Amino acid sequence: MLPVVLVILTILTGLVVTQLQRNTIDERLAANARETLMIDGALQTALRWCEYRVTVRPRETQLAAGDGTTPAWNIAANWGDATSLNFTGMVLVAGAALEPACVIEDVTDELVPVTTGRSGRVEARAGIDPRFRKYRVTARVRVAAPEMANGWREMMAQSDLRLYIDR
Amino acid sequence: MKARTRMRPGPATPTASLAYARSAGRTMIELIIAMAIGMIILIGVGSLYLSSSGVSRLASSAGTAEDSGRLMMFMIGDGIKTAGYGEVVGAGFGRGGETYFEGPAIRGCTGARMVDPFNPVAPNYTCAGVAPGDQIFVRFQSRHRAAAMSDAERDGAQMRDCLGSPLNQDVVLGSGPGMGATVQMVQNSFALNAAGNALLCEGVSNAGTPAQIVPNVVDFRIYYRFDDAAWALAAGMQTNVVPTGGSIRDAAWIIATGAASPADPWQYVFAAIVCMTVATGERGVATATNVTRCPATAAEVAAGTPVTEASTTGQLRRTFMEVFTIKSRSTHSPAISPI
Repeated sequence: MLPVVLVILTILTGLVVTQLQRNTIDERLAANARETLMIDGALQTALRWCEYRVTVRPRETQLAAGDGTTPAWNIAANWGDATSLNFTGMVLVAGAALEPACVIEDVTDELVPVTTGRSGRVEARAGIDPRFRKYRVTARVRVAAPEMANGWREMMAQSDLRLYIDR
Repeated sequence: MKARTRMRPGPATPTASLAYARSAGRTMIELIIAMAIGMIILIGVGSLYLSSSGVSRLASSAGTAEDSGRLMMFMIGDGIKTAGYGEVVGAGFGRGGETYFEGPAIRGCTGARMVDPFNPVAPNYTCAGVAPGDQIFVRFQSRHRAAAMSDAERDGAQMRDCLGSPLNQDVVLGSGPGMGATVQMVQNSFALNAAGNALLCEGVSNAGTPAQIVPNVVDFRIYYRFDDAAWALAAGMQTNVVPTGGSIRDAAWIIATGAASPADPWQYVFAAIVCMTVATGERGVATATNVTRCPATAAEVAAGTPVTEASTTGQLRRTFMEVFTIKSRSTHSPAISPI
């Protein structure tokens, strides 16, 4: 009788453990998907804020620069207060490890001179109207993730803006 | 002697006495009762487990359908929002075409499939045949070209297709400020399989052999926000500076409309409405006979009321519908065609 009971108990325990493991994996998958969507929502909001900021005050916006090999957004020092746009105290997503922030570069040099004669006033840079400025905006949102080796998870989003600053 | 024997029936030796004591403690009646109680407990626990497992399976299945739907909407929506993206490099006053992007940003088919959209030499976006659900096709620049950075950094920042592949279409730009430059484009196509029960994804890396990315997708429809006012002005080469909400159309209408005009009607599409219905893998779990579905016509989308249909499979269904603006295409207004 005892061996039979032990076998049945072992089978039941195995079933329960398997079920628990499956539920745990499902739970983690769902949590990860949910977090991805939430971070993306926060990221898009931060990017819109930064685009607005550089659009309304392009000349007063804090800028960062790359080194020719590494782009500005991939240089850790550029995310400091002096060279980035931080939304201090703003929490866009639960569990945020840092405030949402943006690194903004003036990349007007990437514009190609006009050769078709369509441009207006041509000065300074050969073939490029000086009133055109191009900015690259990179937003970052970072949330705490104890299960990750570095303790956080982050997402970045980027956009290019070409502004016509006639003043 | 007989009476004494009855009163003290035990044998004389100690071993025999012990064996007798054991047999005296477990009678057949006791064993049967113990087994009966054990069976009752086992049946109770077993049925509880099966019932709990069934509920758990149903919840898990519904949760999986929900997660799959949300993730797919996120992935498809991301592609639509990025459609037409190219690094801004032009310094001219052109209303469009001032980027490294060239070619169609978005295309679609209603109840049909494109003939050969991934052909690197002569892509054919013509819709042909009859197929379940709709198809949507989007393109955008995937790899930085203008930005000053090393190739390793470009690889790291590269946008990938719906399969996560970095293999993209190499396009030599034929016009605009980047004329002659080679840029990489992501091309993604989403559609149901022939059986109409799974969502397929096709990119440059698996052109011609779409890969299943989500099972149990039973409906997939795409509708478009079309700027009628801007389209009306296009005939006279005029532009509509402020885009309007316009009408809701399907791909068949847009293609038919464009057939009689030299202008490209897809340039006047500024948002895509994606609808997807995901069913649970488990059958026979839903008691309701009416289940959700996607709107079958643009008129149903415009009406905005939930639509249902009868189902006999007993599968639970979740229908997701979301509007995605095509916001990365570089024009003064999403409705203005580049000249």
